[in-house]
Amino acid sequence: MKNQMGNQTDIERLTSELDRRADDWEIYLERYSTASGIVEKGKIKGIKQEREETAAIRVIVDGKVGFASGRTSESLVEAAIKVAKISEERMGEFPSERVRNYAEGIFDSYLKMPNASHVKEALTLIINSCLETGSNPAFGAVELGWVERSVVNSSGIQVSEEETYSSGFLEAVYKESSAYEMDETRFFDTTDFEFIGRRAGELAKMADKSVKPDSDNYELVLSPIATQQLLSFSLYPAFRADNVARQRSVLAGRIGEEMFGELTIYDDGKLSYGLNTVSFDDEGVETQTTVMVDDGVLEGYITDFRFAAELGIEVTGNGFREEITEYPQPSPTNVVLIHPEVDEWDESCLYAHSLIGAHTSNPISGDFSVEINVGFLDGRGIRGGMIYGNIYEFLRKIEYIAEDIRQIENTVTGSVCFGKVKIKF
Amino acid sequence: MEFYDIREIENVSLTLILEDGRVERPRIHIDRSKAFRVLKNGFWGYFSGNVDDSEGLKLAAENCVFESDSAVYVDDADKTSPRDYFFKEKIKLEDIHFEEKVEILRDIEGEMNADFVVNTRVAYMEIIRRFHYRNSSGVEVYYEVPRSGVVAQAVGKGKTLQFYSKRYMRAGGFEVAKEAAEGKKIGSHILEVLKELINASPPPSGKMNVLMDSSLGGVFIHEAFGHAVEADHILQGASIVAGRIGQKVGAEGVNVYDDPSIEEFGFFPFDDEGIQANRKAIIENGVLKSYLHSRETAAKLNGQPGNARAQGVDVPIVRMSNTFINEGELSLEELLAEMKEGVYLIGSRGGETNPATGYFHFNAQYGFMVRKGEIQEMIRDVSISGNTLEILHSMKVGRGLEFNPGFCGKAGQLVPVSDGAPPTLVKALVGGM
Repeated sequence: MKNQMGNQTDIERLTSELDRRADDWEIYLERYSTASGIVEKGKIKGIKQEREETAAIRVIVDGKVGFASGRTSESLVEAAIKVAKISEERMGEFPSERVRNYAEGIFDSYLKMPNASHVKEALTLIINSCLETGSNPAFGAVELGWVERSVVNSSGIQVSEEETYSSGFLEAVYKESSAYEMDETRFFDTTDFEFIGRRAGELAKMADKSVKPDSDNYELVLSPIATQQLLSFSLYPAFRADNVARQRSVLAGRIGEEMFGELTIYDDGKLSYGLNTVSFDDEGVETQTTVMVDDGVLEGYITDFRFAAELGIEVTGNGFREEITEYPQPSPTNVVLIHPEVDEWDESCLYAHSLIGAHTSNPISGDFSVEINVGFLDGRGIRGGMIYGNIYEFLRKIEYIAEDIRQIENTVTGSVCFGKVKIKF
Repeated sequence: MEFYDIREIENVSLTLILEDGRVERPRIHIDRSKAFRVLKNGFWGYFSGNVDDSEGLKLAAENCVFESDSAVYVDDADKTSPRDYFFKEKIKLEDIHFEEKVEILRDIEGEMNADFVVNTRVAYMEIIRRFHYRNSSGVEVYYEVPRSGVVAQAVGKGKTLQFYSKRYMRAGGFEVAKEAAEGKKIGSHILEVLKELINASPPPSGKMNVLMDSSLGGVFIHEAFGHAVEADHILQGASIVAGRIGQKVGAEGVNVYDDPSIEEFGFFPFDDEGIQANRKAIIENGVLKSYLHSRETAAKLNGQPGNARAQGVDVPIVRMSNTFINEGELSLEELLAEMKEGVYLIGSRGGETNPATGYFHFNAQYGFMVRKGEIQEMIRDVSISGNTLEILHSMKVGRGLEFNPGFCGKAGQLVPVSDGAPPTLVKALVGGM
């Protein structure tokens, strides 16, 4: 399965045209099939299936890189060569190192052809478990998908891999308050749809009759959801080799410095069952474990093929395409947070389940200010609450990470306790 | 089968980026796809993929596995089809060589040179959307609309590392990018702000008077209020304005509209359900007038459709277009005199809101302290938060409406929009470091 190419005829046709017209080239192919559905106010509203096949072509002509994406039937090679003529993006070659080890736990054969009955089953579980709490399952969604990525290039890389995902989300409303919960895994059977509905319903109910505490210093705990929201915008961009090379990261030139208290942060592209686990990145480079921070000391960056060469560092297998329309760029896979202190948080802490406004963080300086979306103090819901500061100073305040470890998007962590933090209400 | 529709969408886009003076990541995207939607027993079935019409409708109908209460607005008045629309741009995008497009970027970048600038990035984007819609009640529409423009950003180093960016995009041809470079001089403007911003002080914090410039005011009305009047949120029971039509939701001088017929970034001649674009009064004289509707929410809530949009072949959902607070009477000086003490906040780095509770949070690009009604030193990394309805009730509206373009995300779909406002004075929670 793993080395057999997705769509042989498309690849052969493109390859023969590229061999004639470009010095070096790369074909990235994505085939996918998804089934999804949405819930509105407790009712399943509709179910959607999508089947698509798209490609992105990169060429090197006289050392200059061009790019075009879209349906394989379009004149993509022509477009990529045309755009290469005005390009000043330089690359000597594409990756050539072979993939040796393959990832585990990313393919569920049950999801190979996701269909309406899977979606109906999952949505029904979400709705019913929320209704049992007395909250309104206001808006929710389930998406099941199968994806096959293939990379072929003129340096001899020819790899292909199938993966699946199963995800659910629900926003529950109780009187004037609302809260959401989510879960995503690689397998249909391991996704806890019942938890999504129940937890969202319970949180919305707990958030009702919320109070507005005084602005003060509080022992702050961020849930895995809130931690992911905060770090993905204020911290992760700084580890990207392109931002480092372009002076858009405060971490540039600071390898070896102790900046992160007692925290260890690593990116694990082969984490078993990880949501972003793959055997190779979107350039065909094998994924790996990259330690960014070891016991508070900055150890490294994550990079794609191009910026590894520019910074003179080893490739890390982090060249991913945000969309089929984009060039590969350094992007984290599964970021794992480890702290030597492990403890359990209690109700006296101010617990933030989710935040709003994290994407307005300054990714260059690490300054942020966010608002608590759903939070609790002494078991009661709180209204609003602004948390602000600089992420590097903030991370040094971590006292412990709890054992309630979850993966939320690209972050694997338990709830994080930051000690006393000033919060404005 | 109660209803079906078929959408065929073609998007052709070009992106050119000048990063530190070099053309990087130039790219073309050519996308052609089809989306099928069927309503059967009150339940929607969808399919998207490259198949012929009968196969697509059959696959969509196979997803109608339930019975439900979904409905669809169909009106005889919208059957005067087929209807075509071709945008009349001044300079056709395909008539201009790539080299000339790069020259525009070089002109802008050339204005951003200074020793405190550590990185510059100027992007040119163009996208042509061709849209063909047909449905079971006989409506058929087709349109072609180009969008283009420029986004420029510079990073500077002083006391802190800061960035400042400016966008200039709307429906139109190459004339839009030319205006950005020649008329608006966005490069020089960015340099001027950044020079001060890198040495600016952190903001004060607490509840205070906030004068929002048109860009921040536009983001406020879009994020904090506009999403709450999207009728799908009303039907979900997740909006602070559910059941409030005809009630006072803002101060007397507050008038808010959504108008896809204005040739800004959120322009469209027909929505993604084939409904002709029309202006909607959302708030007039502080009173909530209407929600924004798709064919479905209009049928359920007795409204007017015309705001259903989708990213590509995704499911059309209720979206905004060009949303704005209409201008009022007060000049900037009068607003400053009125506020006396507080902060004047400029631009937006984005924001987020919870339409169910009305809590919102935005970050400004920068701001100024205001003391005794006078604009004083610059402040950086400043955010504003509060409750939407409280803010609208205290809002004082100035003169001089301006629109700002952006991409709005909802349910995983991005669509081009613009937000507009004149300067507005409110009371809100300000924070920063």
